[in-house]
Amino acid sequence: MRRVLTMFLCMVLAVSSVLAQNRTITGKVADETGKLLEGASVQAKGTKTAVLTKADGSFSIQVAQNAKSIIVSYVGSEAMEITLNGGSVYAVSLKKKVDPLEEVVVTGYQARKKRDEAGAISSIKAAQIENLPNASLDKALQGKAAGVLVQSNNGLPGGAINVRIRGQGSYLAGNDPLYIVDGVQINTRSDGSFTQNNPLAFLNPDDIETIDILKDAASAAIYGSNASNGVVIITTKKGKAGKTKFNANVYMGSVQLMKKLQMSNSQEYFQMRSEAYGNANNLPWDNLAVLQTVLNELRVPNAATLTQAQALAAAAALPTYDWQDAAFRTGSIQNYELSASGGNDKTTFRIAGNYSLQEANITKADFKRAGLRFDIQNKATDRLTLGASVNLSTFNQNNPFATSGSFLGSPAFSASGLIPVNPIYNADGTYYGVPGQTPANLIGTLNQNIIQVNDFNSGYQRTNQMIGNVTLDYKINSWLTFKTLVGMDYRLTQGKNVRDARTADGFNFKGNVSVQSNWNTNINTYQTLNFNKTFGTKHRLDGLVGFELRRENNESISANGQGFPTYQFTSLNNAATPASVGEFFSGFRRNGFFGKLNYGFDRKYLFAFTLRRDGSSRFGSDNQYGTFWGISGAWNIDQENFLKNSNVINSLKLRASYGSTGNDQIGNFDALGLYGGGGIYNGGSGISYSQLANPNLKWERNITTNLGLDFGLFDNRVTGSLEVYNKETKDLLISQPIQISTGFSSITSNVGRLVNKGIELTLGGDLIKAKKPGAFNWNVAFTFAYNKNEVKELYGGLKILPGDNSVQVGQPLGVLFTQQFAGVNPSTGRPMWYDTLGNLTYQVLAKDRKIIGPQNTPLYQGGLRNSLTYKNFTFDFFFQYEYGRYTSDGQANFLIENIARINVLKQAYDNRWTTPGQITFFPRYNVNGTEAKASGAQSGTRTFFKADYVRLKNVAVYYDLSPSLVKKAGLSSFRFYVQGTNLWTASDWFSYDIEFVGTATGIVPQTKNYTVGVQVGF
Amino acid sequence: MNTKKIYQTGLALASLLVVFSSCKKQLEISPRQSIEATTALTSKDAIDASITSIYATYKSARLYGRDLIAIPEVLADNGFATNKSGRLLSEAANVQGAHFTGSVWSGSYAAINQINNTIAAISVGGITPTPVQADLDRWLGQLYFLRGLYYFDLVRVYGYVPGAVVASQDRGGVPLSITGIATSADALAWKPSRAPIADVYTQIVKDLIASESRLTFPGLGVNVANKAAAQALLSRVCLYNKDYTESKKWSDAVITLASSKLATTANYVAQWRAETHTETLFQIRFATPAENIGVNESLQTSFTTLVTPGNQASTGGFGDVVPTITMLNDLGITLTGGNTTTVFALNHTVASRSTDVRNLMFEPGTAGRGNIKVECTKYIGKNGTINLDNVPVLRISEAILNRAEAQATAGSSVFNLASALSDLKAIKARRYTDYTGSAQETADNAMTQAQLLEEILRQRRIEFAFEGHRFFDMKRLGRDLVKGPHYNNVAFTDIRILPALPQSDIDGNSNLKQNAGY
Repeated sequence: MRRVLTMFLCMVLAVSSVLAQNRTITGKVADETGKLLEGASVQAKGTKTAVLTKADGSFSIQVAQNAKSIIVSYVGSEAMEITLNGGSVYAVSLKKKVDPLEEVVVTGYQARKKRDEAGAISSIKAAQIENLPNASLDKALQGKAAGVLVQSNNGLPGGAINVRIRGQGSYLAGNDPLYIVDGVQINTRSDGSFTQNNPLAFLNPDDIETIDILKDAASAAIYGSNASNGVVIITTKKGKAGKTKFNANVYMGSVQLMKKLQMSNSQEYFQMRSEAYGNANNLPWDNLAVLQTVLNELRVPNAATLTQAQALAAAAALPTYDWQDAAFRTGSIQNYELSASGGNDKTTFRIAGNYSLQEANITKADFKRAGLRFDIQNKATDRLTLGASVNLSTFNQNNPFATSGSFLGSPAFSASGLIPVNPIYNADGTYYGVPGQTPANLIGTLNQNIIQVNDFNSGYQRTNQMIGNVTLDYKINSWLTFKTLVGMDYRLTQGKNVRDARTADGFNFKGNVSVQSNWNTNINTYQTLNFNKTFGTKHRLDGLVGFELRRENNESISANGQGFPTYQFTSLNNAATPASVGEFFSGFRRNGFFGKLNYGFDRKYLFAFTLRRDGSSRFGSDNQYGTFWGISGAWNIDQENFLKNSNVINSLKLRASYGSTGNDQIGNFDALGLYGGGGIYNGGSGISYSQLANPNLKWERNITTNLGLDFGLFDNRVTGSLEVYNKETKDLLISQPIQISTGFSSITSNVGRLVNKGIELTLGGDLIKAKKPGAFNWNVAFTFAYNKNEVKELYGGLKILPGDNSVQVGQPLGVLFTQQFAGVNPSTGRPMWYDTLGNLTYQVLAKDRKIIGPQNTPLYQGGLRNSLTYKNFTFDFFFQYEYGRYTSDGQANFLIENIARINVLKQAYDNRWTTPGQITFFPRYNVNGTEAKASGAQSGTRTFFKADYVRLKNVAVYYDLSPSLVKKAGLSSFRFYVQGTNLWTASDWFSYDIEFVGTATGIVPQTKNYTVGVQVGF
Repeated sequence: MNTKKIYQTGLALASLLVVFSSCKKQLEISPRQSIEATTALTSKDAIDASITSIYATYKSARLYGRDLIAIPEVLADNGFATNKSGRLLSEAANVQGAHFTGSVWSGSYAAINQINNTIAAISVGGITPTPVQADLDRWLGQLYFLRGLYYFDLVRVYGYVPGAVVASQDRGGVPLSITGIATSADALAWKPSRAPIADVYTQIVKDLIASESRLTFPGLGVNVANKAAAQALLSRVCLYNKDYTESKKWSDAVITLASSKLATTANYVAQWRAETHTETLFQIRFATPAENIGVNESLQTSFTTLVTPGNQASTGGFGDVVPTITMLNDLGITLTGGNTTTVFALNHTVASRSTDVRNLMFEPGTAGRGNIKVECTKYIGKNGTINLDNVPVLRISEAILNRAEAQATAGSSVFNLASALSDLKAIKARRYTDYTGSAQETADNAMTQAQLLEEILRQRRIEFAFEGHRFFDMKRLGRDLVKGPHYNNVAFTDIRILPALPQSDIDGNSNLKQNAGY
């Protein structure tokens, strides 16, 4: 029956085609560059009629009169449907098919096609990081690559960023990845004394073409001793042959506080302070003596003579001033860029300049950068190519009072906790409560007028950085090339900090001024012989051998002076007392030989072997050299016959790798036995035994096994990759505690082992795919990473690192080990904990501590990027998320104290214990802080909270002017965009912000930014 | 590739190899702020610099910079914590664990190891230029004094004092190390146990006697060890050790040597306003702005809000610790409205003072940090800058009170009430403007042994108020801490009399026993 039906259908179709009248369609098919294509297939849609284009790209096809469209396809290009609109001649331009595996990745001294690579490498393209108000490139990595955790320490523009690739692999040594910009290794150490000056802020992120992140050891092993924490390779934009193109980009915007903390008002403060006195003395809070004491503290005149009614009335009349409103501001963002690039077939160049300003949401922190980039490549002969690039940048930052910490004069710390009774200004507009006046300070522990302090204090940190390289490529023959690079990273950091003589910290010194100058010289050179040869048609061999050298010297001088004639003088020349001077030197040397061999068979089966032998001056004289290696293999399954013609699976690749890398991020002279400065006394300068020698000190070694799968499905509409890894750190560098009664606390030793295991998933694709240009398209890219960290072994069979309970065998590094908070006793209002037996106790002991769980690092993290396009509009939004982080917020801990020496969060005030039977988390107030025979109220887990969040990190709308209009205006492109950062967060964090690393005490919180911009090409 | 090219390339590569062949040498780099440890102590200057660093360690806020002075005041009944900065609150409330910190341990042992290594370097010889006998006496005299004082502070902080021991809670003194540790291997192998308390005191006395015989007075002055300082410390150590004969002997010696330094009612105040108090036999010197501990933890900021005495308009430090009501009573200061808890909580003004000149070191502070309290001004930026004060460790008046106590204690081998009374009166006559011939003097003459001993101890409390004696005096006598009306009392048998040893040393060494209750 079925067969009959089929036959019938065929007949109907045949007849209809005969009946229909035909017409002839002609035209030419070319690729994107205009090259005419021979052998492209042209088919009338819905028919079997098809022709191939001739050598000149031309075709002629008969189609039915009523045919709607023809389909043009060509190997390696995306098929295209051409709507027939009545004309008979069509020029077709085919787009190159985007095969994710055909993209080029930079793998270390080499650029290779992703299809030929067997390692775990994440790539980030310019489009993903362009035009974001990020001062430094590390911040731009956030959420973009699976397994790369990026956390800002704070909201200081140009501030420190914490980047961890595949978890924390080291305890003592550093966990920062290696950054390489156009072949030059850069360190991320901030040398500024007065504010954080992230060295990676030297580069305008908009000058970046790609960022490739080497995650597994086999890929990173080529960087040997530096590569344990992964390698971030940054390639900047280069010029292309052709007419000189100009690109101008301007954006401006504002920086705002994401969240203002809701603090208690003056009446609430009065209430809690009275309760605190009352509870401490077993008196009711409204006892007259208590009320008088508190009113007296709050500078109510003649408080001691008031009756109870008068005292309560006086309290009710206390004014409330909002110091947060006064301290925080709306900052501005400005960014200007202009670049020109072009050249001819011999020489290409790119010149770019940028000026950027970002203000923090608090005085006086800001970031101003001016940068110039120059890049030139010249083909001197057919064999010889020379290149040079120079990046000059200067960034200038106004100093905040402090980058973190509980400094009374720091607005970031004090604005929330200042007792709100304090006026900001006197009636005549002058500052209230400043030295030399009456009263000379504010009420309460936070007694500095932070507005005055920050208006009067001054200071800056200026970083001048020159990073440049020259390269030479000499093509010895068709398969062998000699490459050399000499790079230099020179950084001068200078700063000055003035504690004005009129402010509390400067008053008694008549001004206190510090200056600093630090210069860092980092020279890096490598020579490689790169080879690339195909044997027969199927065997392909490529790779390199090379030598690298790096040396870094860091020197600084500093001085501090006090006693200035008037506040107008801040030059050290005018100081009466040169209080201190300082000089510092440090440095290291590294060198290494390395080689890599890649073998591919028919682009199906790939093998690679890497070897590096590295020396570092940081290790003991017997152990300066280490050997690192990696081996990897991959199978491009899609090249097999059984998948070649699959409509579902377009690309499929299985990868496996195994390798070792090293970590030498320890102190430059940790292996030596040293006598250093031993303080000064009685006019003399002392020396003392500062460090015991450890001649056995050696590399920390990471061994990583990595399995990966890359795939492209449904015409590459869905692409992605999955990685599973096991990263084992051996010879873990630990500060091994020794008995303090030796006079030393520890020696740096290789004693321990830990493992990071994880899964990373990157998934991307078109949720809705545009049928034709200009139609609605929705593209998503999702990253997910899970990392589990576990300490496997410590020296001497120890289960717990003595002196540091956060390092325990079988637990993640940095595990929280403390007493479990049990809430507030409903009958007494006193805080309780669980003891070893699980009983409630007021007084915890060391033995009551137990493992609570991991802290500070999320278990799961990633991002979701959406890009919606319709006609000339693009709408991008990007979420990032972290889950499984447990941490303590130092700022919030101050603001939930039960002493009421500073103001308290409204939430804490509202929920404080006041009456028997009340179930709450916040104990009763007590001026002594700690109840009699009890532990401090903030002991144990009381201050630890879950820090999970989802954040709408970025939203942007772009509008591109249509090509015809652009052309009319004499331009090559025109784009207008609006952008927002940190617009929305799903989290119940009750302090300023959930995104911080380390302490949150007194840090400048992250900001919400809005920008608008225009990008013009001509 | 033709042969010429191959040759060229080969040459280029070979030359590269030559350039980079000396790889090992390329890795050479030396620190500049430090020198190689093994040869550091081979010159006279180096020995002197090493000794300088041992004194410098004492300046730490965890040692004589603050803790050894301020914490004994709040642990005992002298100091009330005002909560103006929040510091020392828990110590004042005797919260378990709030006591001397592990830094007394770490700082002292670092200094002791430095002393031991320096003594070793001197005995090994090879020092250039060759030291003469005077050099050796100067070095060893100071080193033995310092080792004695460091061990004395360690053992009185972490262990009980001989004769005042809660046997069930006694875990011994402190580890004794008198040879230097100079290699990683030695350091890793060091797993000491706590020496018996008596052994530690024996070592301290031995070191101090060795010091006393080598030093002279005034020698190099009171900023460093000298003969009188060694004698005065011996007088104190022996008093703690209940060896009254030796205590009296060394008191006699130092009184003979330095009693002329005793201040009088006329110059008492001036002595506390001068950089160096005339009675000082040994002090920790804070001289330059770089040595300033600063506004958070210096003794000035700990004890007073004042910048200069008598000027309530200018606020400096926090004034975290002020005299308790019982301290005010003993000082003879009466607040307006009387010395009651209610009055104490409000702004203080002084209604009246006794004739004791020592209470002139106590006056109302500023309103800048909250309610005005009567504060101690013994540390008031005497060295020219706020928060910069020398810290007296040994004063001659202590030797007189030591001798008085040694002779007034029941059962003492040198029991002599008349001599004890005479010493007490020598002090009182120099402190109360109207003492000689007063009714008080007559009453004092009639005291029983018990009354006399109590009066000697009360005078000791007043004399050394806010100088770091009180807690140790209570502890060595096995007395309960009577902290009312501000705080709960602490019995001598309470485990909170002793602090915890640093947990990391306990964790890493099973030979070392933690104090009871921690």
